Formats: sequence, structure tokens, C-alpha cells
Amino acid sequence: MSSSLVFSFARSKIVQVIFFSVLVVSFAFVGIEAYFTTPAGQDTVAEVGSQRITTAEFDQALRQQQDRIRGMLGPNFDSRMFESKEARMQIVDDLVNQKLIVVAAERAGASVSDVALAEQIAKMPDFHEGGKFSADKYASILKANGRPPKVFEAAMRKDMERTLFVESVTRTGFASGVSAELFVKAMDQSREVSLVTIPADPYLTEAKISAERVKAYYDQNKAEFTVPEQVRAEYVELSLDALAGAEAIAPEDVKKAYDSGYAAKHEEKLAARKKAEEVLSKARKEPKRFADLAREYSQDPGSAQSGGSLGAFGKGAMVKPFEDAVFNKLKVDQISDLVETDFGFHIIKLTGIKPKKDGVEEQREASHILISAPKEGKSFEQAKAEIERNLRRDRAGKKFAEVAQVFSDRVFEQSGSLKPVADELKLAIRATPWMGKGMGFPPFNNPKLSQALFSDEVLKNKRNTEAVEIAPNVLVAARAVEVKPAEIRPLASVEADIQRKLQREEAGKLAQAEGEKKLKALKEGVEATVTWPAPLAVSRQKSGALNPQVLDQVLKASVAKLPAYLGVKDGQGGYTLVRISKIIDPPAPDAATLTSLRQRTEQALLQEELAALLAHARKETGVKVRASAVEFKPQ
Amino acid sequence: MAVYDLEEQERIDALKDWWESNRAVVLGVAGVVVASLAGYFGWQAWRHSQLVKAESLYTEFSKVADLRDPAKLAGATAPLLEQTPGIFHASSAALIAAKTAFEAKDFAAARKNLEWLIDKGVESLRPIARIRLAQVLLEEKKYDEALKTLDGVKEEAFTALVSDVKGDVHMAKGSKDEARLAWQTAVDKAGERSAIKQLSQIKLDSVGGVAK
Repeated sequence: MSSSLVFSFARSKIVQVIFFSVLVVSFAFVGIEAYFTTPAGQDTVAEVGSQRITTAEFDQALRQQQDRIRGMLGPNFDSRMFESKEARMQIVDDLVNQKLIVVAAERAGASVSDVALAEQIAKMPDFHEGGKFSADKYASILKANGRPPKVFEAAMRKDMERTLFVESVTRTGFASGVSAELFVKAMDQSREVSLVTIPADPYLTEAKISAERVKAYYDQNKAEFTVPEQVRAEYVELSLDALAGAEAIAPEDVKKAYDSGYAAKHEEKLAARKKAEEVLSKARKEPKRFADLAREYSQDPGSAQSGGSLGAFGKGAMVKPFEDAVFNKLKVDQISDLVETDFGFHIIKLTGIKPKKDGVEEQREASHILISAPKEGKSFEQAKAEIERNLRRDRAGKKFAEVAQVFSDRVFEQSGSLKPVADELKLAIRATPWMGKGMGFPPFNNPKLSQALFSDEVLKNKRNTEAVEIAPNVLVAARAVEVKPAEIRPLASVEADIQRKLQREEAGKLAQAEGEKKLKALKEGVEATVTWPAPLAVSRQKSGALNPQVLDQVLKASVAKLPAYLGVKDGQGGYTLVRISKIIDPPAPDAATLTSLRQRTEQALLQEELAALLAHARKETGVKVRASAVEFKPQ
Repeated sequence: MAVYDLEEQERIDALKDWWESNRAVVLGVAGVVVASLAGYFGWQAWRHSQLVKAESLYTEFSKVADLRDPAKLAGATAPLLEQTPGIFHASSAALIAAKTAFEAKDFAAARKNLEWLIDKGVESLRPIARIRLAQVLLEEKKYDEALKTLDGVKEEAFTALVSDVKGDVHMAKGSKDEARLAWQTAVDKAGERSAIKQLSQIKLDSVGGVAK
């Protein structure tokens, strides 16, 4: 059945009714058939009610996510971050949620009639011809995209129904001002605190660590003292630039290129210069007639008619040589020598200076006469280097694909050495110093190359890496020269470090014990054991130089009784005693703050409403996920 | 040949007998099938006509909704709620009208729309309607009614959200201890990265957390 709803919409009512009843039956059959003939199998990642997420859908979502992250991270992108179970399950979860929205919309009965569907499609500008919906164009566009109208219309309908459902919730949220105010009050609450820190340092001498404890720590924390595997590598690099540099260019080729591309333009430019010199001498003779000369000779269409006047402009508005003349060389009413730019030859007259005023930078007014000349109009000597460079790049570019293929083939075929490829392509073999994984020197800071070098095949079996493209038109292949396996540093060389570390820990514990003793006394009401300094008020916005752990504890502390006391490890080995003496409610927020926090509250409520709707739909529908179907499988 | 004729005759007689004794059942079953098919298609057709009607009312409603004029909006909402209550669009309109009314401080109208949804609207949107109704009642300082409305949400997925709003109502009412418990429940039940978890946690912290 190839008839489409939109066509039928245009037909008579009766035809429409018959058409729909046939449609309902055939859709039902399609549904049943699809249900029975493709049971959930190897390619099913998840089942959401009667709907399915296939591995193909998962792979597509994975690719999209990878592309997005690659776009964000650029060369730091590491495809391994998508090998973890968490990352892959997150993608499955997103896909499940997308399906759940559709299910939730269906369950809520958010449906769209054929009339509305037809109207919506008729509104899409893609299908318009002469400002109106065209059935022919509709049919031909769908055909060109290989989508039967029935499929396209079903997808459109799903999309409309989902939008209707989601927007009915997301566009209608609101929060009470009371909720918003409570939140502001909580956010901006200050607490008046005094702090006394018991540092760990004085306890260092008291903290004795036996040799046995050092040994025990060493034995239990071997990983900490392991020096990772290191490698000294050699590599060859093939780049378009290097290839271009090696191209020999015959002098007659340069001459030929000059004659065909530059010579005529050079003639043209010489003529322009001659003309410009004539105009210049006229301007010098009769400086008053500068405007007339501009009208007569200038080839700048924008200014010739206005006598060459360019009006006022600041620095940075004109090309460099022009700006130089106007801002650095000329006095007012002075006429310049010929000034050459990419546009041709200018004769410039400075006509006024507007000094810097009210923060507006200095501007200058000038007029000019332009005699156009092609910028390629260089002499042979001027153009030679440029021509050679271009010829080299052109020739190397034509060869590169072919040479790159040879490069890739040789490092693969003769994988026991880089010498064959280096000899054949006249490349240098370069050596690296010792490097660990993830700490490579360029070009081994490229994650793909580093990954290739640190693979078993390369380190253990001493094979070449494959040719890795580390940048556009740059290929590198490497091999390991020498490998230092991971080793555990001997106890003797780390003993002192362990001793120090354990001693600090021990001192911290002693400081904490002392602090806790005092805290207990304080809580029992024995104030005299601690001398409190002057209090200060702290809040989420004003940390008062408290370190984050301490601040967090202060803001969380129970304040049922004031003063309240608490003890916090300060993160530097010491222990901090805190007295909270007062809770300070913030002043009533101004209207702008309240509005913004009201929106934040409204957003939080909305987010949770949607999340809860999905969670509820998930429970009602039943979601089955086959985690094994999305596990990362290395090739 | 005669033998066959006789057998044939017997078969026809048997069929006739069967028809005589089962006619009523066969006709009855056929009748039921036809009637239920007719009923099904009839219901489908009625549903479809309701949907088309709701859509056209909703189009008019949307034009008025953009004006943000509560009085006109009430006029455009009523026909949807009255004439096509079973269609999703009616519930959608009730939500939009409630927001517009709330923002214009016409709390009675906001309540009326949300109460209609809770009573007659789409079932899966009812918890959301209850939570929003509680926001309206909180704004009007009708604390006990707000709490009662929230208690009506039975869906477990909404526990965190309901508890957060309950905490607000208790706090506004002056019952600090109950507010603490409610916000603590919200923090416990909310998803790890949800905004409501942060919100509840900050409010909980400001009243000193739950006493240990």
C-alpha cells in the first residue's frame, strides 16, 4: 500500500474512512508479524515493553557520543574511555529513556489525529512549491530518501505525540514563592564560627614508627613503589612537508611556471606603477587638485567619486602599509610617495586627525588615489621562492598517497626492523629517551601512537607498530629498542619516605585524639580548656578562608543547641575544633535574586517531575537490559 | 450408486438436524461478533471524532494561552474540559491554564484546573498535578490542605519530589522537625545526580540536619 495519509486527506470523506479502516487492519498485521518473526535475540540490547533497542541503535548512539566528545577534546580524545562498562551502560540508559518517553506518551494517550498530522506535514517548507504544499514534491522527496510515506508518517506522528506529551509537562512548571524563599534563606545562611586548630607538627617527635611497621607498609602497598614499564623507542616519520622539501625542482620548471602565471601580471603591474608615478607627479605639482585627480584616475570605486576621501578610521581598519603611511609617516595635508599594497599603488593624503577622546581611540582622515595592480605581478626574483614552494607541495601531494601506502606496507611486511622502510624512502630513524606509558615525548604524546607502542605485540615480540597518522599527512611507525619491565623499588630506597609518611599519619592521629578529648569536654560544658579567637561569619558564598572540608562540616552541623561544637580533620594532618555561636539569617532577597532562585527551584522541580515520570513508566512497562550485548570486545 | 445416494442423504439429514439444534447458538455467536466489531469500529470513530474536536479546540486555546490573560484563558479552557475530557489535550490545557493563572496570582483558577486534572484528567499526569496544586496551596498558606494533597500521591517514583515539597510546607508552617525528616527522605530517595537532591540537602543543612 503506497497511498499516503496526506493524499487521502485531500480526497473525499468516504474514501478517507475506507482507507483508514484498511489501514488500521494492515498496521495491526504489521505489528503482529514483527512481533512474532523477530524474537529478542543476539542483536537485542534492551527491551522496553514491546519495543526493542538493537545493537545497531546502540552502535549509532555510541558513535554519535564519541564524535561529540572527540569534537570537545580534540587530540586528547582517547577512544578507550568508551570501553568501560559504566560509559556503555550510560548510553544504553539514555536510549532506554528515549523509548520510555514514547511509551509514557502512549500510555498517557497523547495522540495526534490524521488531520493534525496532515496539517503538520503540509506546513513543512521542504515540501512546498510556490509557497504551498505540493503532493508531487512530497512524494518525490520521500522517494529520493528511500522512505515510504507510511513509514515517514508513522515517524512524524510518533515525534508529534512525544512533543505534545513532553511539552505539556515541561512548559507548565512553576514553583511557589515560599519554596523559592526557603531555598534562598538556606543558600545564603551564615554561621558565626570560631576555630582553633591543633596542628600535627608538634606531635611528630612523639610519633615513633618501628622498622617492622615500615616493612609491613612496604609489603602491603607494593603498587605505590612500582616503577612502571619503560621503553626506549625508535621511529620513522613520513610527512608531506618533508616529502615536499626533498623534491628537486628544475630551474626551467620554475621559469615555465613564472611565464604562464606571473609574467603577464608583472607587465601589468609595471605599467600601473608608471601610471601611478605620473599621477603622483601631477598631485605633487598641484596638491590642491588632489580630489579632482582622484575623481579622474582613482580605481577605488568606493572613494573615487568623493574625491578619494575615506573618512575617519582608527588603527587596524586598513592594510598594514596603508596604515603605516597614515599613522606614522604623513603630516596633515602631506602627500605620500607611492604606497604598495595587495590592491595596487596608493597615493595618500592625510587630511585630518581626531585625537583620542572619551575613550574613543585616535582616528585619522585621509584621501587616496588607487591605481590597481595585480598582486601576483611579481618579478621573477620576487616570485621564485613562492613558485618553488608551490611546485614542491603540488608534486609531493600527488605522490603522498602512494608513498604513504609503501610506508604502511613496508613497516608491516618487514615488521622486524625500521631500516628497510627508512632506506627505501630515505627517512631518518630517530631515537627517543626512556619513556613510560602516558608520558611520551612528541610524537608519542599522541594517544593512538602511544597505545600502539605499548602493546604486547610491539614490546614483547619486538614488532613495528602499524603506520599511525598522528596529524593530517603525517605518518609515524615505531618500534621498541629496549624495554625496562615494571619494577618494585627496593625497601632501602623508600624506607625514609615511608617512615616520614607514617610518622605524619601518627602525629595526625595524636592531634586528633587530643582534639577529641577537648571536644568531649566542650560538649559537656567545660569551656575553659580552649581559648577561642574572635568569631567570623561564614556562608556558602563567603568561605572566610576556611578550607572546603571544614566549611562543609560547619554548614551541615546540627545546631539544635547553641553554641554547637564540632571537630574536623583539616586535610593537612591537623584537627580543627569549631564553635558555632550564632545562625545568621540573610536579609530578605531583592526581587532579581528571588526571581532567579525561583526559576532555579522551578527547574529543579521540573527536572524531577520528568525523571519521576520516566521512573514510573520504567516500573510499569518493564525494562530488560542485556548488559553482555554492549560489552566492549577488543578485536 | 444407490448406496452413495443413501449415504449422501444421511449426511444431509445429519447436517439438517445439527442446524436445527444449533441454529440459535451459531446465529448468536455471529451476531455477537458483528455487534462487537461494529461496536469497536463505532468506538474508534467516536474516539477519532473526539480527538479531532479536541485538537481544534486546543488550537484556539493555544492562541489565547499566548496572551497570558487569565479571564480569556478560562473561557478557552472550559470547552476542552467539558466536551473532550477523555482526550490528552484537555489535560494539557489544564496544566497550561494552571501555570498562567498561578503566575497572574489567580490561585482559585489555578486550583480549579489542577483539581479537574486530579479528578478527571490523564492518570499518569495526576501526581504532577497534585505536586503543583500543593505549590499553589503553599503560596496561599493553606498548609494542611497542601500536605493532604501531597499525601494523595501514591506512586513511589515521586517520593523524593513529594518529600521535598512536604519539607517546604512543614517549614513554612513552623514544624522544623517534620521539615527535617521530609527533606532527609527527599535526599535519600532522590537520584544521585538529581537537582532535587542538592536542593533538599541545602535546605536540610540550613536547619542543622536530622538530629543523630
